[in-house]
Amino acid sequence: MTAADTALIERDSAARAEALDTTRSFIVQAPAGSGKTALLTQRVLALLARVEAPEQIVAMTFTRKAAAEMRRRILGELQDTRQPEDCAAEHDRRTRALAMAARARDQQMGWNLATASNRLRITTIDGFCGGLVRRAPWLSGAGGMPNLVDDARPYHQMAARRTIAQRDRDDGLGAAVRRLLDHVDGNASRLAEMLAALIGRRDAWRGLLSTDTAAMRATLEANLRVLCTDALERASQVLSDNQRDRWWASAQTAARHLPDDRALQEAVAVGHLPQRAEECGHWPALCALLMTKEGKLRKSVNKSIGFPTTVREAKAEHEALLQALAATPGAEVALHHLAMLVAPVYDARQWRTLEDLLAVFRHALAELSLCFSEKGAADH
Amino acid sequence: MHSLARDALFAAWIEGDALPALCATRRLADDLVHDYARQRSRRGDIAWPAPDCLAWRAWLIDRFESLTQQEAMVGKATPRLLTDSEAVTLWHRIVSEASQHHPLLQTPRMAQLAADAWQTAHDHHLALPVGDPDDEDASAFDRWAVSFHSRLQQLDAITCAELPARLASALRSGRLDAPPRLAIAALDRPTPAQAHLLDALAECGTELVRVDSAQTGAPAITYLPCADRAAERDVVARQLREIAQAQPNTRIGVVVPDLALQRTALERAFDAVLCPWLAPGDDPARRPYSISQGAPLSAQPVIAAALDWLRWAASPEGVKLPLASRVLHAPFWSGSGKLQAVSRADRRLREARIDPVTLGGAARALSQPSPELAQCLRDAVLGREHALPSQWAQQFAATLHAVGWPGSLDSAAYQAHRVWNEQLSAFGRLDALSGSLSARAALGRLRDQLQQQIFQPQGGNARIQVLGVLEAAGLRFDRLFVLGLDETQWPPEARPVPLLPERLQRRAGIPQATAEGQLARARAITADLLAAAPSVTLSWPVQVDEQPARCSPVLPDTSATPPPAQAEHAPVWQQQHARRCSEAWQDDHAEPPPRDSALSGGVQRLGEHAECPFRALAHYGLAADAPLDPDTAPDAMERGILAHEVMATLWRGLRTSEQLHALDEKTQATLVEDAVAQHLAAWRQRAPHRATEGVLAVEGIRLQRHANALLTADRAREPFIVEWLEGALIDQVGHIDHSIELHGLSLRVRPDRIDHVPGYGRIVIDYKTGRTSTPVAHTLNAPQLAVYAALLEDCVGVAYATLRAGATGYVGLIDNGATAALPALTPVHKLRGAAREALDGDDWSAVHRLWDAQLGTIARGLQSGDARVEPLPGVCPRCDLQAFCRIHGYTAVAGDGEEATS
Repeated sequence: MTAADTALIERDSAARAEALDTTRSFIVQAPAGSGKTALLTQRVLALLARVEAPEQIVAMTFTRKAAAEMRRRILGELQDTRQPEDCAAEHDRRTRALAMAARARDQQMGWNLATASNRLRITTIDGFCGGLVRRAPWLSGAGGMPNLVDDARPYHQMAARRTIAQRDRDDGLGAAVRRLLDHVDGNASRLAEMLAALIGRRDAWRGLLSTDTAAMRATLEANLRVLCTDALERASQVLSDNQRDRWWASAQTAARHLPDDRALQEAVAVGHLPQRAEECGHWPALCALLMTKEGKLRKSVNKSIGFPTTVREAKAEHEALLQALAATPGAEVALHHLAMLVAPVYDARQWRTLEDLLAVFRHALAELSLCFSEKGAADH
Repeated sequence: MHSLARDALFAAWIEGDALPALCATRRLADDLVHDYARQRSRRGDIAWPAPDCLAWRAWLIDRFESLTQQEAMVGKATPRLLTDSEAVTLWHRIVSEASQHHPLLQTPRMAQLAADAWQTAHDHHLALPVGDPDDEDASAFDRWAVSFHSRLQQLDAITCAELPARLASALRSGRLDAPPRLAIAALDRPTPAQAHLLDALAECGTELVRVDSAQTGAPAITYLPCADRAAERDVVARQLREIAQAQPNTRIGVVVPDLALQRTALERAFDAVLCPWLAPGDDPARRPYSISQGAPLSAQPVIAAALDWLRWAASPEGVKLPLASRVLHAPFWSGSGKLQAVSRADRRLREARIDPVTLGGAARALSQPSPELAQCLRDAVLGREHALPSQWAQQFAATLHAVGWPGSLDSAAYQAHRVWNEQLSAFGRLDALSGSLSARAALGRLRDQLQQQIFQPQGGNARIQVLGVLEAAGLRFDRLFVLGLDETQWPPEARPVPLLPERLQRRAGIPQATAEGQLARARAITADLLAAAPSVTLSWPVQVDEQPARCSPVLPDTSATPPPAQAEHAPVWQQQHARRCSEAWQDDHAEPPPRDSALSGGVQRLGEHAECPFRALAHYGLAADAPLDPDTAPDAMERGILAHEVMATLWRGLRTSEQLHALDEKTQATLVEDAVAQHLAAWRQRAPHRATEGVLAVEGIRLQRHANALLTADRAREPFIVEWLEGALIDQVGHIDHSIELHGLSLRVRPDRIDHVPGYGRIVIDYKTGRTSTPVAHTLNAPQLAVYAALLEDCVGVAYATLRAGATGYVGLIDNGATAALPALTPVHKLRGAAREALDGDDWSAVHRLWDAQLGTIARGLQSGDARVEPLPGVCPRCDLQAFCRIHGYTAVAGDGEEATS
């Protein structure tokens, strides 16, 4: 074991010990198999030695299996009679010490966790939320435990269809739905499917909805700007100046042979590779010279991307660039991020469509609440 | 308090001692009465006086009625006792008022929780309002309780929860006579309210006698650890079957702590082992076992049908088509014996894409196949005005009567119907509590009421009784099984009443509110269960949530338990399937289509035969198709029809490219606009329920855009003359089908359009609003263009004219020498890939040869009656007949079987 390894282990051990300080909060991020559950078990044991009742501690996991496993581990430690000094490993000694303290507290308070193991609130996130709703039916607004549906897609589809039915309204919402329908070539079924899918992922966007559309636009454009600057930053770290210069030269060559490619012509007209967030809308056209639609570096170069056989030298240069990029760690991912960028500013038409979408989303959420209310149901 | 054995109680009754009995549960009261009856029967008695044996709640009501009568004798009035549904209605009103500014997902459930909290508070002598609630829920309930109490006073009414205190007070003040003796059964752990009343009885001279149902002597305990919950159900079911077969008269109890949650899985497992012959829809009374906790009354098929009918009648805007279809096909109305008429009406509704469906709409669809049924629907009307519950009860009954509900009933449905009548009467007594309601609100209230009413059909003489732990109190069995005794389930976790302050519940010692209380309660119940039979089997799963689980800590010594038992039974459907697999039918050939008439299905059938021979036979030979579920308007077919109509109208007016060129941009736009408006108006006339204002607005813009784009594409072409439109010559009106003989098949065809391009020849054009497939491929699954081309001597090209965003224009194939006739089409020599490989040359004649060969193959297949289920890749996902050919069913079954045995 090298000195560096020893230092790493010491740092790791110190971090683990620190995470058992029950007066502070921690986020523990570590790879699979590194002992996160063991650490969480230790922390629950540490907390058990301090609380008035075991119900004051909540441990949440993602699956029932993981919750059951953690319960088993904690109960196992509580029932284990080994003393810390009986254990060889430092980690086990620490666990045993914590378990002995928790056992002492159990006896002192008369919890009798060995027979009342369900006093340990080790649960899934869904289980915890269900418990909150059961204990606070009024505050939660649920009025009692709703029927939790694992597959809520029928509700999402119902809400989507009811939203589309608003197209007959003679107001802003009706007009917004009609414009969106026109946007999908009048295909109401397709719009219903898209809306239903979005309703299913509403947690990702619900927080953005606001009646203050100007503020929303600013937020959304700021988010796009962050995406642009992040991608530019990543690319600048990965791509060398030489690679960037060769890419720019290739772009000019390709543009000469693809006069009908409007996006490429506009990108080249900027005069340099995009550097500022505002210019990032040009990246997709430039990336298309290097990347396939699937986000992989091109394997061949031909006239369809602006390199006919008549420009042998430029073609060879471009092929060499592609080989260099393939040999550059992280280049493919960085280029893929650039290829996904759009200009961080909405034009009038885009914003109109987005405004329509947001108005429709707001209504769809209200429809979803009604659908759930009618059936006394909720999704996860 | 001295004890009396059950047999001694019966002996007292036999000797004429009118000793009344008070039981903890209704099931125990019924059990005592039935047990007594058996004993009398064994003695040879034919008739005997019914013993005075009541459950706690019924006894309270009975005593209160006595008190009311006694008070009336001296001219005093007692308050009115609200029924449970009346009390819940009052809570519903209070909660609804409170939730005006605090939206609730489930007001009915919240009202029920409030009623439960009110009961718990009274059971445990918690004074309401508590005054110092410690959370928002308790605080809200405190306010509601004040409001509830004041409304009770206004109504001069009380609830059942208040009866113990009232009766105790009446006993102590001498206003109610105390019985000299009272036998009490299974009230070993009374609530404070119960204890208070029993104390009052004792103080007033009643001699309380405890009925002892316990088994004498220690029971034989068998421990039965099982691999998991599913194995536990299966293993217990098998043991039950063995016992029931060996000792048919043995009374067996099965106690399940979380029965309400386990009910469905338990039923499935028990059915598979104990009555695999029971089919869905069979009378549940035929089961050799009974489950104590039934489903809500509203979930009984006959009651669900009534609620569906009423919902339909209360919805002037109609209900969704699937619901209407379900109601019409349900057996509980006059249409139950007229399946053909109902199915025809259902199909008519679907084909006309009527969704939602009003009762009037359904009546119109039924009027031809069955005028009598149509009249039933017309008579099933509900008033639109607000009315009192008593008026709605009458209207609901009349509406259901009009449709012939409930029709003929089996035993379980008959009992459900009887309870329905009681519940409808109870609903009709809510006038004072609920005020006037709309039809929909009244129906919603009735539905909530029926949801709270648990229904368990009686019948059969099931010797195996499945019970929850509380219902088992005081019962006696020959054999008892207790399931689910693992540490995660027993004792149950603490479940304090959510609307009462937790600290008060702890202080009051409500067992369910604390872990300690639950543990003590679980210990006491376990001890009772062990005394309920001479032989008790205690089972638990050793694995829960894929993790090892121990048995409950409250079980007696479990040090020597056998290894976990495994499930042995495959699901019954797998067994049946395995048996059926041994039979085989040769069914890949059908009668060929008749030769003396045009092929039904025409060109469409040729394509489907190429894709899957069975599909073509089913659709056109057997006229089988899946019920059409109307899609949001306009669907693909409606969009296609409109596009065809608009383009036909435009070219019927224009006729030639010369005329088109003569139009300026504005005139063309006006022409298109007029054609679109004309056909949208016609569509609205045909289907006003589909062509709403919003639909027409969007469709109008879309059609104009695509029609203009297609005309623009036509402007770029060589001069041409449109000769045929929809099969008819340009001068003819309407559409005409042409007959064509191909490889011995007689086909009726109707090409959308045929253009003559002078100097080149004719081009067949097919309008498409969806995706197009290539006209040349290894398989001819879209044979329209190939067949149309065979109609013409001088066909030089075939084209799809697509009207779709991003793809409007022409695509197709053209003779190498005629590319200028329609430059958008691909000349044969430029075909690449699979299309090129399919051809034996690179000119137009090669295309003709390929098509001819392919049509010949399809024709021979059809003529031979080929009906194999042999779909091309990608066909099944868009086929509507998978339930018919069962291709995926067999695959799935095979897959499941492999999984089950691995």
